[in-house]
Amino acid sequence: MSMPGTLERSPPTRLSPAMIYPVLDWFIPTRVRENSELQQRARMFLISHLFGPFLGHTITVYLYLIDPNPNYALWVLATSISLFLGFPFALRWTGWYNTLAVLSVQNLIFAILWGCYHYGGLSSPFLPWLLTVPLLAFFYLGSGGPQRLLVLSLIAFNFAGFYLAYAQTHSFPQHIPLSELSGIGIISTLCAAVYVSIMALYYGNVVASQSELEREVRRHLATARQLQEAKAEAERANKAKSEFLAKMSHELRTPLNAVIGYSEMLLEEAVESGSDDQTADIKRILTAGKHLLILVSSVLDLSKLEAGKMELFPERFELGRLIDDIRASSHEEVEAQANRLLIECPDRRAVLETDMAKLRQAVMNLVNNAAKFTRGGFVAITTRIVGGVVEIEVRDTGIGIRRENLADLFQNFGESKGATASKYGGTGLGLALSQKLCRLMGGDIAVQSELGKGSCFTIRVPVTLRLAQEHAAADDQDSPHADSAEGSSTILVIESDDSATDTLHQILSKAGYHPVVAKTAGEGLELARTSRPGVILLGALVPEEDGWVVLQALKANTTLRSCPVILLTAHQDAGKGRAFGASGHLIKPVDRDQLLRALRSVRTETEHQDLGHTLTNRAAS
Amino acid sequence: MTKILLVEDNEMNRDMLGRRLQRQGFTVCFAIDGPSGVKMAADEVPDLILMDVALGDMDGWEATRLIKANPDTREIPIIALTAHALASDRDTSVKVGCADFDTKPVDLPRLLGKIRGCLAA
Repeated sequence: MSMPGTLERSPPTRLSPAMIYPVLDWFIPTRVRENSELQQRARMFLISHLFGPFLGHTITVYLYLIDPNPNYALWVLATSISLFLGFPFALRWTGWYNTLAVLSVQNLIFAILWGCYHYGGLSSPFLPWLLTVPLLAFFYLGSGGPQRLLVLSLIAFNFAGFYLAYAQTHSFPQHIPLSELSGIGIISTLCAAVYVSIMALYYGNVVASQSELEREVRRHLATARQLQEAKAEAERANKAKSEFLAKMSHELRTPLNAVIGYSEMLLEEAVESGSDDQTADIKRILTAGKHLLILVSSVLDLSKLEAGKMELFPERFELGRLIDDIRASSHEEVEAQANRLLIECPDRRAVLETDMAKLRQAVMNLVNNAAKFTRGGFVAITTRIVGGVVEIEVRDTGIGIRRENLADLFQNFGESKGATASKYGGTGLGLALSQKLCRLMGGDIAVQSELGKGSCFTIRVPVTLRLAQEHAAADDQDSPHADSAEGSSTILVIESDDSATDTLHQILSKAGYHPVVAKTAGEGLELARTSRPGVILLGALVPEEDGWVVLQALKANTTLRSCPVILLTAHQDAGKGRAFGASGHLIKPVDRDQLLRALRSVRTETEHQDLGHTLTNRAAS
Repeated sequence: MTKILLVEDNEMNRDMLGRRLQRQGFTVCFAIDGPSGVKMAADEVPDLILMDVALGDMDGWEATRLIKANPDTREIPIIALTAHALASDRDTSVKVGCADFDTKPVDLPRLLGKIRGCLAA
């Protein structure tokens, strides 16, 4: 069935049943309106009751004209017809739609049969009205089995009543001679026809709007299908674009890498053979090749970022490691223009958790930029940790940026244009890339600049921070945090002997570490990967060879290699342990102070070693 | 003489890296795809394998798995060479049993450091 709201959307310019809906619906109680099928029937009921009595009264008026002194028969008929006008109001006040519909059908049958009985009997001109009874009854009540039975019973019951009245006298009361009623026959039939036509037209309209509704539903379904197809098409296109980018990235980089690789080889040979002319030329090829590679990489990275295809790979690292790496990769370029590279990084040991390669790339772009636009000054990198955000500021004493150019500075190709660009070089991709990378990591870049004085770019990126210093203030000297190199106070104990693990667990917990115990080689390697320990204590395993297997496996693993391992053995074979990459060695039974000292020393040591070990992500990668 | 097996499908990269390693005093043998890399590892038993990850049908990870599955070649340290310095690549290299991994294009001093590290272990 239809939705009530939708039916009301017929265009108002055309004459349609929808135009009288507001009037009809005024009579319909909310409860009935909630059922759209019932509402539709109630509307038929109302149309019938609001128009019907006027058509019916043409007959009473005619009868009155024939006999200006009517008897009770006409008054009963007139009352019965007028009663219909009360039904809409009764519906509004009571809400008993079904009861009223049955009463209305009953009243209709009565009025018709009463009129027939009193005015013409079996030849009555009002007989055609009987045709309207089943039509209206089924419109009001629906056409289910019980309803049919009820309507037919009502008709039969009324017929029976009037037949009983007739049976008493075997004649019809003739208030008006049949001959005088001949004129009313045609009027009565016409009125009945008009009445039925109104109802039929209304019904036809409802059917039409329902099929319109169905068409609309079909249209919506078709649209939904088209949208789905369009979405699938867009996804295919997007996938094709990503594949294209990935392919282009490979296709462009491979030959460039060959150019760079072979020029490096030629350069090595030229340097060896002492051919200075060639050395200079080959260096130019190499520089140009590397420059082109950076450019190609930037363009590809930008398209990837814009296509939303750049993924983040967060990892834990120390801020100091990142800064050292940036210093190592950029000092040559900075110093090439007679600039000094100044670095201030007070929170070196703060452990950040973000995409180090992308943060590095973002900072490197800023540093390279600063170096490019500065002559005989300095480029300063300053780091700060403010709340959950790391700030990396890159300040230079270069040419600066005009205020009006600051706004579109981060647009692709938005760097200084014209003469400036030709003097200093640059495409303006670096800044756009840096900003997009920072935003991808949930941060941003701010810029301040004064023309002729220099510029200051500040990267702010939220990170999961672990500050070594913060803990240090609160803890005593034995505290693991004070010397936390990796930032993790988790200590993995790999040891099969229960009494040994218990002792170690106790010592470590009391000293503020978080011990994690593994009893077998497999468990140990698994926990080494999952618990990210700061130090691993490797004790005796059963079988004994397993200890060496674990140590080898740990040192062969690129992620776990940097985690220091202290061996706990019953005998003095430190040499073998060291050869396998162990950082320290203790003889069992373990002394508490020795153990804590060893832990502190390996953690400090690791920190220094780690400075050299960084995940290098050259611009080419 | 230290023997290095270089598994690399790109001819120029193979030639370039091969010659530079030879100049460093290594004996270099070559394989041009995964299956021949696995076979060469078994035939030549090199001291170290440099494995390009982006090979054709059988990628470098799969070739590494096969080499690690063979008891004769299991102990040979393998350095994976990937085009991206991604954490995921590093994780995969650990998972399949690589001793180390490095990114392409190769930074020779860096790679030599890793090679010497693996050989010393």
